Amino acid sequence: MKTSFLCSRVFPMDEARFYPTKVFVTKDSENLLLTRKVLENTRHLPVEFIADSRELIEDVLLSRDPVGEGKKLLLVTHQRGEYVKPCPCTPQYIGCNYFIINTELNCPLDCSYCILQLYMNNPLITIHANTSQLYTQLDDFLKKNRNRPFRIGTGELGDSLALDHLTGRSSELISYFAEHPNVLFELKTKTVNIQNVLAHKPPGNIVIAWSLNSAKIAGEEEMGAPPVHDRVQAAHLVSQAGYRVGFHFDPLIYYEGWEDGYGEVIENMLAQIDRKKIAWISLGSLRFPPALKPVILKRFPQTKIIYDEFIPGKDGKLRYPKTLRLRLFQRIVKDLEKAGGGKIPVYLCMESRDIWMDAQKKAPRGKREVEKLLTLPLGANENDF
Amino acid sequence: MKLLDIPLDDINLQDERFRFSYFFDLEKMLISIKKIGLVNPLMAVKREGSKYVIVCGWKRVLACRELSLAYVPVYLLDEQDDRRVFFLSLYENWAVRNFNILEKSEIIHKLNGFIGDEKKIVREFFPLLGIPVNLSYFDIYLRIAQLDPVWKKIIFKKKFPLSSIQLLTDFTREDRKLLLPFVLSLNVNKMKQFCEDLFELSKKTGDSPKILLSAPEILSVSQSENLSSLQKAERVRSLMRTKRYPTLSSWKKSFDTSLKKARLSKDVAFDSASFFEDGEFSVTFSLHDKEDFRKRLFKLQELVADEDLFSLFKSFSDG
Repeated sequence: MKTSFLCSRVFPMDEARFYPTKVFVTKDSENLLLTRKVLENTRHLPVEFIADSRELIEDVLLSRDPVGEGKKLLLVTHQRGEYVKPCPCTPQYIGCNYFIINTELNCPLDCSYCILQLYMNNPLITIHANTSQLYTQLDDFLKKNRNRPFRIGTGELGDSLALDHLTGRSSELISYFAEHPNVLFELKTKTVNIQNVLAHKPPGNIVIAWSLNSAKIAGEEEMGAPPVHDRVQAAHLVSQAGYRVGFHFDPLIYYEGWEDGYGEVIENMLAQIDRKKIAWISLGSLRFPPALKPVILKRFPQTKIIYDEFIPGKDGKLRYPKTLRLRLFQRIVKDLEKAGGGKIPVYLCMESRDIWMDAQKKAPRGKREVEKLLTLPLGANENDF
Repeated sequence: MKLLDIPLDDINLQDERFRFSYFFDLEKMLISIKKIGLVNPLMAVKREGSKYVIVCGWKRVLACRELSLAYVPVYLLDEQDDRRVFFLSLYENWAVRNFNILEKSEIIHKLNGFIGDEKKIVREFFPLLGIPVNLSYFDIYLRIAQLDPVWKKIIFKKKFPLSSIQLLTDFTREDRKLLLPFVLSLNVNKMKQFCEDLFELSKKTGDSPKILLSAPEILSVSQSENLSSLQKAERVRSLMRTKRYPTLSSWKKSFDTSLKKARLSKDVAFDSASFFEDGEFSVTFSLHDKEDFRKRLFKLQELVADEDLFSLFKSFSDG
């Protein structure tokens, strides 16, 4: 209660929280508990009940900026496909054996580099309200994997906490995964929407993670996201409350002065957070499918991040040349060590073994080894393979 | 609808209200009309001033004019509503052939004039035209319709894909004029690369294409009297690539320099296919027989002693 109060004092939540201009509910989801909760939390907004979402989606897809238009509307509907999936990672690079839960789709934040801008089947902010199917699927999945530790999280196709004031989903998931100690469950966010998290007693296997960037990149490229300083402050509150936290420096973006930009964030992060509470830090350099370039150009004409020198990687995505990626990774690793974070498990997202080796002087043989490193109890690992 | 033989002079060729095809290869049509006459009549309506306006058959009428025919067979339509006549023309053509990008752009431009409701046009006609049902494509095609005829002609002749045309429309009309002499000799892919590099460099540096194309090193190429237009275009393209990708270009240059120093036989190719990404290089050579193979291997073995050449491996793979 005390931290919740502190949280609301520190962050002007209501200003930062997302509210759509209109809520659409498909008829098949009308009477679901989560739908009622969302409607209660958006009672000041217009609501329309629709038989089918296809026409609505087609209408948004017709617009000049379907991604931008979709971010204004909230759709509450059924998840028709699988809730739980292995993280697709990218071909030819080392994965981390992560599993994803697709509770929500799309994100009210508007980051210029976001790959979701390419997934145009449904551009609306979508909440999947059929939670009984979610937990049935999770039960089955966890039963099959009960004998090994692994990581799973939301936040792949949307921000884990950006809609939490509407859904309260974090509390449910935290309670659920508290009963499954072999699983490290991660909520990944750029927001400071942590009131529900703070209201919960923190189980040891829950990781609240923030995506961080330099203040310059966050300010210029992550529209609608809180400043990095606020994100670190939110992480501080959450770790103080007893949670493990994680950080994702992804995408690392090259610009003049990047060394100082990222250095400051790392310094601030490790000044505020007890490193023993940090479950992991991931690093990933800016990468994107070539098809995203014209989308970024159109939606963010002021951005310069796509005009650097990129090469097509083994997976077809454009990425910085190896030397530049290495400079980014090596510098971050060095800054972490300098600031006393040398023992925090660091992993590279979508990179090859030789880059791992050059960046950290050690490399996993495959995704199982990465998984092993990241699922060891806090402080038990030597950050080694 | 009546079938008439009308004097060619009675057709108002200035009235293009139903026209959406502007670029034709008349050669085959001319041969066919010369051999067997115009078998398939035109379609026309009568409008102001008692002149006939072509609905379908622009290619045929232009061929007839080229052959100086006095009369042409015409189906005269009674329809007075221009919008309905345009739909007739559109569907009549749609049923028998595919439209090219320029035709699609002209159709959308005309539909915009006849209907005016962009969402209706996108919803009803884009599936017909094979265009994604999205308003941004409406904008793209309207921009294409507004390109200068000189560019449309190049687009038609070189069969530009939509992505290349889109790139062109990202430039201002003035910039496109400047671009013309630089790209005229290039093939479609190279032209696209050049335009892309110029556009991105302009975005990156904040300098206009005009400023970038007036750089001394570019002017010295474009004003050279010793180079052909193709040579000029190629050199300017290469200069632009170097400016857009300075690091990768410098690597390529030092790679090429080292290979040159190694004095490899011309039929041995060293290559780094993956932009020096994985530190791997490939060597390819051809051979005729066992003896040829032995000689080739012997020569390659001599290369192992070439420290300069192998310093390449270290510099690129170490980063």
